[in-house]
Amino acid sequence: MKKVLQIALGILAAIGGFVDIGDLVFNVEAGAQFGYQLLWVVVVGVVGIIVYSEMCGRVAAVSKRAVFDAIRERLGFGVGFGALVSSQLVNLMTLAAEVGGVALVLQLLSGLPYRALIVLAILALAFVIWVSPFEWIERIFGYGGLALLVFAVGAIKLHPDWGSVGHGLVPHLSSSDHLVYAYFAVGLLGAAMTPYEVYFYSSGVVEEGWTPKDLGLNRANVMIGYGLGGFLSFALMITAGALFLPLGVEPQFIGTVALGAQVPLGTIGLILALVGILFAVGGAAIDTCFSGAYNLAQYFGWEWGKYRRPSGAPRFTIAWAILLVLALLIIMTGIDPVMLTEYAVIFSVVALPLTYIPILLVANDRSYMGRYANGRLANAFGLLYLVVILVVAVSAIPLMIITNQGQG
Amino acid sequence: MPLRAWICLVLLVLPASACGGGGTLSTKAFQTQAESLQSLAAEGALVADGSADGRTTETFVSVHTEYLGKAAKKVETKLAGAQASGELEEKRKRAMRLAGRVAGELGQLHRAPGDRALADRLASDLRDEADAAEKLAE
Repeated sequence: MKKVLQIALGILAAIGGFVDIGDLVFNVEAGAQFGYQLLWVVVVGVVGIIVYSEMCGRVAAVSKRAVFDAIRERLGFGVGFGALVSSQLVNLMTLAAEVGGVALVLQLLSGLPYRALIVLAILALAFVIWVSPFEWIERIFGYGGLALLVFAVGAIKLHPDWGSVGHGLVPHLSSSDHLVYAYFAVGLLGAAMTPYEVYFYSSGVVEEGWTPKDLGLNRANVMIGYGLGGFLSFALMITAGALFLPLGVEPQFIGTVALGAQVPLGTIGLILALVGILFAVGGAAIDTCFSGAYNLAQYFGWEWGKYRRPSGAPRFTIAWAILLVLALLIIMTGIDPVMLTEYAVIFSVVALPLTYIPILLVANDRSYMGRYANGRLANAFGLLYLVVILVVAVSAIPLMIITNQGQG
Repeated sequence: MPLRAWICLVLLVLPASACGGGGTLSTKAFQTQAESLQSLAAEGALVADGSADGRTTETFVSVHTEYLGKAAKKVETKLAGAQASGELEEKRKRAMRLAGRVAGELGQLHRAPGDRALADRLASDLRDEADAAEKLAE
């Protein structure tokens, strides 16, 4: 019973923690531009992150090695280094965008100056990471993120055309603006398959000492957690499609996302939306920060772990602190967090094959994984998503340039 | 050309193209600005509606309209710095004036987020301006 409760609580936290600033920006922009037409891409993205995370979790449980540890060990220092550099750059951009997002939400709640709130956000994140036990961080931010369910209520209250919503779940091409449609499809896939989530998850599997006996739990965790988390993406896109598309509103600000809950639900909707965004984006900032430190520590063979005291893993601690400082410097330049998010998501799509391919190879390696290597189904999905990932990786930057970041 | 020269060229050209700068306004570029203005006015009307009905917070109205107002001002500046000819020039001037009005009204909401009567009037004005911008973008 206690185990079931633990899993249920973990899943709740995963749902609340699924959405980050990339999901908020791309789902709302896509809904405002194309209504419900791109809902099917969310499904493709969620299945993709399930496939990828399941493989990473399985590799970690069997080999006791997280993503970058396994990549370096199996594919060598040189191949791994390229993957490390690109992942760290994308990670840093994402972290800076999340920190900027936290500051913007705090500003919408308090009215205080944005730059002061950036500093406050960084200090608060550092304090939480330093003093809070990891289970508390995970649960508090995950449960706080559940306030985003207000968008599901808002979506229903906006009375969307459910027939069109159902049609949006069936893959189809757009009748107009093909390139902009393709750009948003790529962005939504990138937002759903954000690599830092996978690095974070596989590192957690190693830290919590999962073994091959826990592979069922691994499968259930990724399928239920990410699957239900995708529900929040649906809610955001449906809200934007029902409210912003008919009015011609092109969301450019975090405040616009919150407006999607304020219009149908009033002040309580607005406050819940802002609190939900604050916790979701704040939690994602912590995950991104840890992921960056994990990647460095695993690649260079340092002591690492969120359960260790700072003195027990000093280089890991210094790594996350430096990442926070770098994120502070980037966002203090005045760069727009929403624009930075779009770049981060598009570049994460480009970098995705650099970690996906090694993990697919390792998960398929019978000499390494033994009887836990990919079976036929895992390989079929793994290869299918390899093709999807390669296509979107090649097309992401050209689409971003041609469509002027989706503005046509 | 050596690699360093290519990098310098890209660093010079990218910001210049992103800024849009002055110069001749194409129909496509005008349409983009007009659509952006329509979006800002429509969103401003939504915020003003919430304020008029007392279904939002004053802090949210004040902060969010400041961002919307700055964006409208940017549209105005871009249109003011561009040149066009014939019918497009006429449209440019109208859009520029419209952008100025939208920025001004959003500024009023920013400064008096709790004034429900003002918000009610501004919501109606912003809706009209969103319609006008939509027509200009066609």
